[in-house]
Amino acid sequence: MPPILSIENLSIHFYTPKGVRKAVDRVSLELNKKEVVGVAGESGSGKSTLALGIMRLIAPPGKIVDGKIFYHGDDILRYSESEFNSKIRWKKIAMIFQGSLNGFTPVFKIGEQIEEVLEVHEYKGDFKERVKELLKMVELDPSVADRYPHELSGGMKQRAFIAMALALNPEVLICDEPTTALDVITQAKIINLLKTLKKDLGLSIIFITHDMALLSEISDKLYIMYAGGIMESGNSLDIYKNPKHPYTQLLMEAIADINKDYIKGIPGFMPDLANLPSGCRFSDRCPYAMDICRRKEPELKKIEGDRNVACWLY
Amino acid sequence: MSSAETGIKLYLNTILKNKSGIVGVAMIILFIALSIYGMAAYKNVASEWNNANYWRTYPKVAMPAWMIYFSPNKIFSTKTFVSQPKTLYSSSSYEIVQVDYKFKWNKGSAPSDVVFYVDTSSPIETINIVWKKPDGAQVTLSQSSPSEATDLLSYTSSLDSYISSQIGYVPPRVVASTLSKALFGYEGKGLLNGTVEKGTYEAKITLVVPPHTKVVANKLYLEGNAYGIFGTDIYGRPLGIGILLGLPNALEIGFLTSIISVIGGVIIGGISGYLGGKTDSAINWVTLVMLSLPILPFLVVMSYVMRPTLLMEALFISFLVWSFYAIIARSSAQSIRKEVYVEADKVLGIPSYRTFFTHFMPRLTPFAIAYTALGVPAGIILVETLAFLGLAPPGLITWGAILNGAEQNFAAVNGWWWWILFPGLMIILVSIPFVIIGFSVERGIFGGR
Amino acid sequence: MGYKTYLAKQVIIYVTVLIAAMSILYVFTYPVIQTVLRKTIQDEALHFKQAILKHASGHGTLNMTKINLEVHRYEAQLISSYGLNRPVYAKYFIQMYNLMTFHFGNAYYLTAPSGSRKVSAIIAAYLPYTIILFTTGTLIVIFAGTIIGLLSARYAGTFWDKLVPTIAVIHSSLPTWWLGFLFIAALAYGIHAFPPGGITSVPPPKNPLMYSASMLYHMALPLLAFTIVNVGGFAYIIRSLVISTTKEDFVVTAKARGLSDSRILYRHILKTASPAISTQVALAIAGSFAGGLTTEIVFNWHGLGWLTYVAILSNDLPVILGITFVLTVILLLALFIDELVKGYLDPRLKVGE
Repeated sequence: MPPILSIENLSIHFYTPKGVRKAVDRVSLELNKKEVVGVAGESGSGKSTLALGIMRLIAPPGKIVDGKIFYHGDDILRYSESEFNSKIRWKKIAMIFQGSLNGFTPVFKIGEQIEEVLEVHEYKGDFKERVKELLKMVELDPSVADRYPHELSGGMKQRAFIAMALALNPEVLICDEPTTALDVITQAKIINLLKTLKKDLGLSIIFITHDMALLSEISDKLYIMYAGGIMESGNSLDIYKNPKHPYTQLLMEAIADINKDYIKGIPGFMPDLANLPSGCRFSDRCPYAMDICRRKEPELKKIEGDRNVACWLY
Repeated sequence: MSSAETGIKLYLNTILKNKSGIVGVAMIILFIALSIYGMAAYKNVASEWNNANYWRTYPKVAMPAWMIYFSPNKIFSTKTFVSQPKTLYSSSSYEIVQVDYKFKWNKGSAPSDVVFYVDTSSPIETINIVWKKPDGAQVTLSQSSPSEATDLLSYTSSLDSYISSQIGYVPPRVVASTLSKALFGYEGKGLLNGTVEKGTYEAKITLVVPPHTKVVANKLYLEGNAYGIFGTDIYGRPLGIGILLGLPNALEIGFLTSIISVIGGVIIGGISGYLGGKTDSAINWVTLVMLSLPILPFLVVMSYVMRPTLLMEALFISFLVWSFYAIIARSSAQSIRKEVYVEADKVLGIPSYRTFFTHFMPRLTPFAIAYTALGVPAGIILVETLAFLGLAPPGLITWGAILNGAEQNFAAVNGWWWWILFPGLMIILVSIPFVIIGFSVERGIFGGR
Repeated sequence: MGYKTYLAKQVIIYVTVLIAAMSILYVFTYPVIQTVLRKTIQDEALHFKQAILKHASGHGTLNMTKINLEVHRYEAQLISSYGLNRPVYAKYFIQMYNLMTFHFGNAYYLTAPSGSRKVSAIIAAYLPYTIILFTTGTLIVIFAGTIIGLLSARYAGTFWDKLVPTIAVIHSSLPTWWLGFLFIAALAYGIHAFPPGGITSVPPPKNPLMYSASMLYHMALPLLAFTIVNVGGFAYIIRSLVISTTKEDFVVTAKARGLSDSRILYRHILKTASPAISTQVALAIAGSFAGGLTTEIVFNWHGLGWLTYVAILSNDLPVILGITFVLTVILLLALFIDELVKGYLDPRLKVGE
């Protein structure tokens, strides 16, 4: 069965006074039905920009300069804004944001805002019933609908937002660091909720985070992003067991493990996205950097099964 | 954010990159240059500004000279004539000297005034002028112990009797221009209707002076109704000079009040927001007190009661105004505190004064710069308003004082539009570059975040 | 702390601020007023003496000692009634107490049109005219400025957006009274389209409808000058507030869930920014009372600002104190009402965040 969402060579650039920041550089990604695709990488690697790009929320000075995004075969980048807004956005593809963000407008009640979404998208059915249904789905008490956002805890807010995201029964859910600002216990609860919802509603999820340990739990497929580009992709379990790209290897090592008595970081900093090094973008931090690495950029190519790596070692 | 990013260089760059920013800076440089020029070139004029005598020979309430272009017949500049004095009679007790002027007058209206200037080595005892019109009609003007420059208002009594002999009564409000109409008009009932007799006029001036008096200089001024780039006021003072000399005062006060109040306000507000707690509440209370004092009435009271100097005026205004900046600085400091606190807590432990200066102040610098720029025109307008109300430091040449003169002398009623327009335009012109710079820095702050 | 406690605390703060502000004014005006008062008393005593002499001159010899005694007694009476013989702090406390209980006393020299010498009557006679002119003007500015500011935020980058900073520059560089002066010269005396000042034509029409019409006609020029100068500034403030609210996170999520730009702006952003806007409105309205001083003088509009000027020139301290008190109370009242409004608009505040 073909992937329901297929991103081909997507490039998103930001035109700043300091130069052109290539936040997303020729990224390709495939999402299949009922699959969880994880996108991993450090802060600033371009993961969030990718998510916003799919939702077509890139604002100036950013611009989608190249690429296609196929949803069920249609390139949704070609849709007009009003077409995309009425047919795709939130209806078919929804998004939940970083937990620390104020996703809800502070001056309206939760219920009002969910009902607003239903109204704007011309939901046929009883609004109040649907709100109750949604809140139950995310294991929240229906009284939450009468609360203001600031009255809820971080975990409750995130659940409510998930409820709002699912209001129109989307097929794809993009989760951008949904648990980052939450404590570990709440984090676990949210992850479990997502797993349940995926099973019950048949969701396909793109899960974006820098938390490698988290992704190991839920993702089927994994994309490793660095400085705007994909370094490695493939089956999640395989990658965990056998990371190929040096960056992926360092990421795996950096996971705090109770069996280890140290935490290893990755030396150096991500390069300025407006001034990427020539050749491989990881070359100045890579322990295995060779001469060719600094001269020519490696392509993402298939090395075995469904594993793709962008590295001159292979 | 590295310190270079928040440094002053960045803001200079932001300003200069913007087209309007360059214009703003250029204008300010121009104004400063003009101020220096004005102070240097017109230094002695400045001290004579309030000396009515100095301006005797200038045309009063004259329009700007370039208006001549529009109506050369009715609008013209001052014409002057010089003559050779002749000593007619000389004795041991007095001498009689005659100065005779003959001139052609072809303009469509009479001069705004006629000034007879005779500079003698000893004081004149009497002056007698026989004024002959082209058609032969004659008017006699006389005055005893005249000053060296006399205009038609000095001969009001002679002219009043002449006028009433022609039209039957003495006009109620006698200004120089009315008297001049009498000297240039056709005799009869229509003497003052403004028609001018064109042709050759003669003014025969006879002086009775002490023996051995020399006539050092003499001049006949037929005052025009146009002078200078901006015209003149009711004392004949060219507004161009007044505006030029008012510039350094305006700039000085603007800068002073702005810098003092902004720096003071930003520091106080910044510290208040940074420290929080009881100190913050206390400072906030003080700020509120200052804010609730109505500025203009308070300034009016203080200026009226204390007659301050320029520096004191600047301090007064700063005293009332710093609270506005303190509030803004305080809320910025509070939001910075929320960000930086996390770092500071971990790295530096308890926030100290050094943290304040290394972390906070640089973040507050953009506000300080923006509001210093915006504060200059605010200060200028405040001072000019006080000057307009007659409450500026005495002896200071300010545009507000010039406008005050316009108001007191009913410039609006009399249609002396240049007296009102140009000083006001100057206020706007000087304010504009500062406002532009202030806005562009402000935009830089918002854009950069 | 709870919202109600917060409000109560604010009230206390405002009252103390009021007292402090009035004290400052008192301190600054005290020395000169003392001198002026003494001189007035001397003058009045002199007049009194002359009156006695005139009266007594037809009645035989003048007993100078007796007359002088009378004059002296009169002087002492005056001194006591003006309070000059009491120690400073006593005078101060009495003055402050009177102010806080709204007893403004009598004016030294000025009188109300009705003839009353009470300061409160004097102020009450002229205050309405300021309200009619400047508060109306401020409401127009607020209304127009908010619309323009919103439009410029909505259509960022286009004409509206560029318009606002331009007219805001006008606001910051142009004194209202000068524009008014220019208008008078051009539109009242140049072309006789508008009256050059005053509140109504002279003599004022008896018919209430004609009276209002005349007043409106006389308001036209000052309102025009006021609005032109100030609308840009308010629009700029609104625009800045709206733009900074637009940068908040919930705006991105609002767009993500498919809400239209205008819906986001006019409902979500506007409502979130409304507390800050409310504060600006409060400040603008409160400021409209005091700010019109010079403009009222230029237009000969006998309102509170004009009265302030006259009172200052006449050294009439009770009136000055009374007016300053009223102005400060208006401001603090406006701020307090603003706190209430903010509490209503922003649910976060009610819970006491």
